Amino acid sequence: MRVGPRGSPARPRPGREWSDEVDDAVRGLASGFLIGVPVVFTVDSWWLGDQISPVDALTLLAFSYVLTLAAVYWAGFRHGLRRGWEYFGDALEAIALAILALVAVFWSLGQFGDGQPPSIALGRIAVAVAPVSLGIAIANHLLARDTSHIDLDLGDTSNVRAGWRNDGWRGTAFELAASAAGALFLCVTIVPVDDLSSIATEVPARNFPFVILLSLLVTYSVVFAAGFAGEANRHAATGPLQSPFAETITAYIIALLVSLAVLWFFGRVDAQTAVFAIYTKAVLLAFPASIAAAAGRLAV
Amino acid sequence: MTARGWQGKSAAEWVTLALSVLMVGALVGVALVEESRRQEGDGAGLDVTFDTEQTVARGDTFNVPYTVHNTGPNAISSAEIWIDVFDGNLLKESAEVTVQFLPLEGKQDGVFVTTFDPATHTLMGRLESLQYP
Repeated sequence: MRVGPRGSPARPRPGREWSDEVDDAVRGLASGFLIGVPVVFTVDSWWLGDQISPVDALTLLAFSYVLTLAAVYWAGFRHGLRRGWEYFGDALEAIALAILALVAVFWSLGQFGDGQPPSIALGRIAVAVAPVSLGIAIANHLLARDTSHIDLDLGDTSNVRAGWRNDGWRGTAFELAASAAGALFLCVTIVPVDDLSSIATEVPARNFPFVILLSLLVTYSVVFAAGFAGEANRHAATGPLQSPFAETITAYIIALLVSLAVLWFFGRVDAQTAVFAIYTKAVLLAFPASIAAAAGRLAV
Repeated sequence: MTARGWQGKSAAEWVTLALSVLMVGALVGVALVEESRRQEGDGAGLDVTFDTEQTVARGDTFNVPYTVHNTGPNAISSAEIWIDVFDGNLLKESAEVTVQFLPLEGKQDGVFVTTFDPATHTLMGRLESLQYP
């Protein structure tokens, strides 16, 4: 069984084993963040993780492995031919990448270390690992690779619009609108349940810069380093604000503005809200929103 | 020159797989250690400690920081704790504190407000009741 786009070269490519390995891992992580981050930003999942016993956590981990194994078999996050026991190895790697992603997120939110008992970290990882590892395991299916655009339908609307990307300000405006749409899509699923207020009270003030840095890093990885469709074109784009660094920063600011707008629309912040409370909620919400904004750009 | 290994798996893939085994193994190890510690714990371990050195005097009252620590084998959904203030052996004041949720090994910080100076009085916490999730 060949997993991957038709006509694409098998991996690892001779002489590029390490870069292909990193590429697959980053792509998997990006996909895992896209699928799993809304669960991480649900405070009920935190509380559930705080309550479960270590044995329950192990059971959840085993269950997640079985689910991930099935997803790896049908979609996968690696390129090229996989067979036999390699599926078991890939599923294990997907679980490990999910654990790594969750450690990064919870550490940036100040929930690991700093006197927190290991059982809390264990429980929270166990509860959130399934959606993240499933996201990693379907990376091949979720978003196309660069080489999957070998059979372009030139009459397709999205491909016609794709030509705008190199059209100066028009292309820039197109990208920004796609970012805003992606961020809005995710914000309206998180803000109404108001878990952000509970999460914001649990995150130490010194950790918010780490949340901002992680948001920028993940956003950059999704669009420019994960090998998703159109990556080469994005690196070559010449429009204003379309260098990788400028586009990442601009997209993050868009995600922040959309986050603030949605928070205000649902009454989570208003003129009487303290400035620091607005800052904390906006920065927290902008993390998943910026990832969705990156996905929005990929979608166009 | 490629670094192909056993059955066509590259060295890079082997390294990734080894790191993954280590990471998942570490998580399983933490779970087993935590489970072992949990089984060694007593039925209802809840410690209340007062940091009287950090007491802040506000007018006629004293704000005494305290920490409730769940040392038992289970998460706690609710706990009622009485804080008693003694002058020698004489009980001078009692107040109830409710903790809504404490995970395994979880801690809850708070401030106990009393009119008695903790420098000259003794503060003690005692467990009234516990509820589990």
